[in-house]
Amino acid sequence: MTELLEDVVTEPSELDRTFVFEDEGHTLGSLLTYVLESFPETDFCAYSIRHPSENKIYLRLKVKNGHTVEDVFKRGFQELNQILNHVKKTFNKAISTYEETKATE
Amino acid sequence: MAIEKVHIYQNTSYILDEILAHRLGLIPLKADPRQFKMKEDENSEPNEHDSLVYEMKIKCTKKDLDALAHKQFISFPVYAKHIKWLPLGNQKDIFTEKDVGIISDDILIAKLRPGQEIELKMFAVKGIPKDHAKFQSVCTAWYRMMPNIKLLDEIKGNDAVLLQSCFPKGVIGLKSVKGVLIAFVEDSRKDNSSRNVFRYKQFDKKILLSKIQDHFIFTIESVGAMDPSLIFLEALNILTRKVNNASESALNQTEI
Repeated sequence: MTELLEDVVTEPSELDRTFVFEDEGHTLGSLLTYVLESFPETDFCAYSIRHPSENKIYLRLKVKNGHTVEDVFKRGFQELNQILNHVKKTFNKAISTYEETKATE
Repeated sequence: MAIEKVHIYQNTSYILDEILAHRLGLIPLKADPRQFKMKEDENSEPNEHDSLVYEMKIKCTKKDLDALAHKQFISFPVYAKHIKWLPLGNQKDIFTEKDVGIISDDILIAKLRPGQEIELKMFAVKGIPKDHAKFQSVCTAWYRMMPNIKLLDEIKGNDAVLLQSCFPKGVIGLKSVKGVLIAFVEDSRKDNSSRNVFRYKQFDKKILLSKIQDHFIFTIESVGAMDPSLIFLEALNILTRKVNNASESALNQTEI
C-alpha cells in the first residue's frame, strides 16, 4: 500500500505537472490533449474528470528531458488559438465565395 | 430567446395553468439573441434591452364553432398565430413582428370549447441551454466522414444500371461508350454508406467503399432564430474565449 501511494504522489517538477481547470469539461479537455499530444516534446498528456459532480478537469502533462512543462503548455494554447483562427478564416472565405457564386448565378 | 415568465389573467380551458405555461415556454421565437442582453436580475422589470413581451387574448364563442366548415367540430384550436407581440420602449423602431415573432404560425397551443377563454401575457428573456433546453438555438448537429467509392473494375451494361440503383441518386453516373453503358463515380458525397452493393455477387471485389479520414462534413440544423453559419461562428467565438480564459487561469495557479 505504501508503495502504491508513493507511486501516485509525484513531486512537482519542471517535467511533470497537473493543471486544474474550473468550470470546464470534455470540450476543452479533449481539444487540449489532442494538441499537446501531437508535440514531439510531450511524453505524456491526458485529462480526467475525477467526479461528475465536480465541475472541473485535471490535465496532466509530462514533457521530455530538456523542456519545461510551462513552455510546452503555453505553446499548446498558442497552437489551439491558431487552429481556431484558421478554421474561422477558412470558413468565412468559403461562405463569401459561396455567396458570390450564388449572386452571379 | 424563449418565454420565461407567463402572467395568466384568465384560463378557463382544459389545459392547466402550469402546463399551458410550460408549452408556451417551448415555443421557438425568431428573435436574434445577439441583439439582447442577459437579464441581470431575475426579478427586475423587463426593459427593451433584455426582454420581449407577447400577449394572447382568445375566447371561443358559439359563432366560432358554426363558422368552421365541418359541423362535427369538437374544439377550437389555439395556434401560435394568436400570440401578439407587444413592443417595449424603442423596440418598435428596431424590430418588426416578423423579426421577433414566433417561428411558425401553426403551432398548436391549446384547444377551447365554447365559453372558454385564455388571456395571458408572456415575457421572453435570453438564456443558455445549460439552464433549459428551450434556449437551445441548434436543433441537431453532427458530422460524418466523406465517403470514398472506388470502382476497381469496369462495370458495364445491366450491371452498371444495377450499380446505380444501389446508391442514392447522383452518386453513380452512366456514360455511353460505343453503345455500351459504363458506370463511373459521379459524386460520392451524396452516398449515405448503405453498403447495399455488397448484396450482389457480381460486384464482389469490384467495388471499394471507404471514408476519407481527414475530410469531415459537419452539419448544423438551426431551430430558426439564427442562420446556421452564424451559429458556427458564434460557437468558434465561445471556444476561443474558453481557451483564452483557461490559459490565463491555468498559468496563475500554484502547483499541485
